[in-house]
Amino acid sequence: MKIKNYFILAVQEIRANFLLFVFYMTIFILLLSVSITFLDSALFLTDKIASTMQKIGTDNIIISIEKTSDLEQIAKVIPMRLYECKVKGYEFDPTRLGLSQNETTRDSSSFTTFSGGVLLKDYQPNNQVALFISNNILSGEFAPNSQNTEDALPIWISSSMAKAFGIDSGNKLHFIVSEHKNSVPIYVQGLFTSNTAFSDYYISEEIYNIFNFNNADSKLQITVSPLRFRDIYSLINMLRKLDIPCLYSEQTIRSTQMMYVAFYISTIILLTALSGILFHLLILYYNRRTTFFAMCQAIGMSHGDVLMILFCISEVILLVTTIFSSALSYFVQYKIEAYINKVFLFQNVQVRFPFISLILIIFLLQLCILFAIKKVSKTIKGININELLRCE
Amino acid sequence: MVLCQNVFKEFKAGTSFVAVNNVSLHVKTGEFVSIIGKSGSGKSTLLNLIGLIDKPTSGNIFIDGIDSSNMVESQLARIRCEKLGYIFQSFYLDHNYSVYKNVEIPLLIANMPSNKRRERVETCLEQVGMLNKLHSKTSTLSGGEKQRVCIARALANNPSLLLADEPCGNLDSENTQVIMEIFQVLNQKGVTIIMVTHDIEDAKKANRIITMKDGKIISDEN
Repeated sequence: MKIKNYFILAVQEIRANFLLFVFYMTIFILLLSVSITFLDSALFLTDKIASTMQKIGTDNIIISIEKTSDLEQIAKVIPMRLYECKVKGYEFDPTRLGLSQNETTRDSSSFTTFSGGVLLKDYQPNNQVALFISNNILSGEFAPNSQNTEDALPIWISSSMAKAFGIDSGNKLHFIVSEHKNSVPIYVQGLFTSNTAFSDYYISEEIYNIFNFNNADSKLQITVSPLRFRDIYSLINMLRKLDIPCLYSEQTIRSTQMMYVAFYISTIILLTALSGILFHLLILYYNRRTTFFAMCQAIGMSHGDVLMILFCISEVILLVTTIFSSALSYFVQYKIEAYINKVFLFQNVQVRFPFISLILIIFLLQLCILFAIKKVSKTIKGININELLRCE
Repeated sequence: MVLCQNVFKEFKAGTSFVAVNNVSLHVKTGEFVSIIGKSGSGKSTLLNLIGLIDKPTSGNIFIDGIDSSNMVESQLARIRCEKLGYIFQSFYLDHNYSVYKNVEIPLLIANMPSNKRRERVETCLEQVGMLNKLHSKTSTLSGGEKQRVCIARALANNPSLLLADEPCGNLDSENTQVIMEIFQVLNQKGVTIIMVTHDIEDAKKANRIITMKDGKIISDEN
């Protein structure tokens, strides 16, 4: 028989036994959507957990370096994401962010909650600070590499801090660090939306270099996270070899690893359950339609043809359930992300469609179908058509 | 058309039972043969053996000169599809399908192109006077109508041998008359028919009557 004819009979059979298939397909959709969500979580756990942890302020690995070139060196071997960058020992608090002389002087005690960071110039692609500011600019612009004509260096300030200081983008200021005698003329290139996960203002790397924090206590402290979770210990080992001090939470990494393994194991358990359900569905359906298949075999269908029809039915079920379950999985992930964002007051909900997980799940389900069909074939080959028709 | 050589069929379900005992039979092309006998005489078993839906314990069965004894399941299925048409006492029509879909099944098995399938289904239903019920559900048909649809399904692949197992067993006399007339017309068109029945009046419509008892042929009359 031609493949097309198998599918014609498979679709006719699904329509003829609609309620049975709808019942099983509903179970399939639920289990499959959970499988896709779990596998997606396992595959992209670093992205999800690490970014969430970073957003809520639980740092991953904090490294202390003197030269940003060291960072570039590591990033070439282990692709990683960069979060905050601060100067150890120095809080660039607003009392030292001197206002122009014609501006009103503010009481320094009211600004103590504001903190600043350094925007690294050469580490742009995975720089979360740069990404955040560029996506959340309220006024002015975010152009760290632009040639400034003002004879001043750029600084970016959060909306809440700008409101407290009464300053706006384009304002000229002086950046002062009290331990250093000199001050640097700066201008506010842009204002960005305030966010608890980020500092209230960022100075450019040039400003940091001017002050030349060259003592051991004022190294740059950078929070990084590898793009791939499996690289986490490689990164730590590499930092140790390069004698770069690093801080990390062993417990956090271990719990993340446990979740990582748990998601994979859960996916395997769910797929095994799906395979078992599929097998029972096929057996149940075959038992309901024994006479029909016996008649079909009496008029020229072979055992192989019957198995192919069962295979096509499985494929149709897979196609329908995959469409619904991937949509459901996407919806669930979106809702979870939206909930996390609501709880932690994050701005954007960013959920990808789980394509890679979907392709992997489809591949694994094909194996499940073959396994189920192989088991069903043993039952079918042992059946005598004559006996079935006689029983009827 | 059909040649059975020393066919022997034994069933082993707890105790051993010989259903067909050393039967040899030759049915020529274009014949209309009735096999009669009491219940348990082995007539239906013999028909199933000729129809290749059961395998003999020993002996050979030739269909159109082809020996079926050493064939694998898929080869037997191919012969059933291409050369044989089977009519059942219980019809075995699918009640979820329409008349059209039921008759279309053997054509799907035989890989007939979709544009020719409809034409063929209509021709077969016209032969048995059921074209007006093309899209009816089979559950709405009477017994006689169901059997006529069953005959149309058996004729779908234009078989050279039609096997009927008690085709009128579930029908009243009026419908029996209609079915027997259809068989006679088909036989006149050159279709070889082997019919199993327990009714001597139906058997007399055939041009050859074989009587079976205890798995053996006890008479073979023209």
